[in-house]
Amino acid sequence: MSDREGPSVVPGSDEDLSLPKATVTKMISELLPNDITCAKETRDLVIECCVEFIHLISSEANEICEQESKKTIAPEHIISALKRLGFESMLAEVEDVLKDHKQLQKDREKKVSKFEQSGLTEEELLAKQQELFAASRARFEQGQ
Amino acid sequence: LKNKNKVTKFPVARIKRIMQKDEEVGKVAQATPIVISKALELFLAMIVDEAHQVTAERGSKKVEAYHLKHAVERTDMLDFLKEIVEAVPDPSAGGTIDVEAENGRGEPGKKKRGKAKAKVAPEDEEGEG
Repeated sequence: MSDREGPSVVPGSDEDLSLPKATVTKMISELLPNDITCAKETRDLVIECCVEFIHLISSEANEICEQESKKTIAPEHIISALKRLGFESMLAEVEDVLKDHKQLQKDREKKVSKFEQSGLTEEELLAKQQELFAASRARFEQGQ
Repeated sequence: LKNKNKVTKFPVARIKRIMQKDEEVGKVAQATPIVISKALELFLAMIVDEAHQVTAERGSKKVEAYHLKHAVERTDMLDFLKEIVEAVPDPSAGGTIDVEAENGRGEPGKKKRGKAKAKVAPEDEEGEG
């Protein structure tokens, strides 16, 4: 998973855990009209607000998770947390992202199982692939 | 060019680390930070929009920190950010007279999340791990 982390990711430093300035700066400029700029101080403040938002949602989701006697915070807990905290306007898009992610996972699993179910060993599959390439090359050369 | 069609996104692993900074938070499903990332995008859009409204109302072309502060103060949904914006100074011209802010200026040792000026970019700083 490529996360576009900053150039120096220091695993040990938990204290000033924040969001990448460059990323946030870019997002803010994508949101504002072309003739409006954002002060650096404001950008830094926005980052603090975002981090606080993460804590707010996580804390609420954690409570919900415990209420359900679960050990792992699931996306559904986040969705409930957003509801509880009055961020209903976000629900539609957030649920969409979850749906897309689940579909992606399903597709990945399907690909893997197709490979496992083919009943052929890796060598046999490799041989088959070579055959297909050769056949395709032959067709191509014939067509030239 | 590769990212031409992609919108800038928050780093998912970083979100997970921020979540787990809270000791109460235990295990987190893989999809969870992804979902939070989306909510965060929407949240960012919301506060930038609210702040920009204040900017426009004041006839300014630059979104200042105190614009964001005023946006927080007048939007219920952003209540939880009151402490964070508290320390932002109000310019005396045209600012609302806020008794709480005046008293808060002494900064009575409230938990600070790194004030903008003093804060060094986290990416540049070596941690004391």
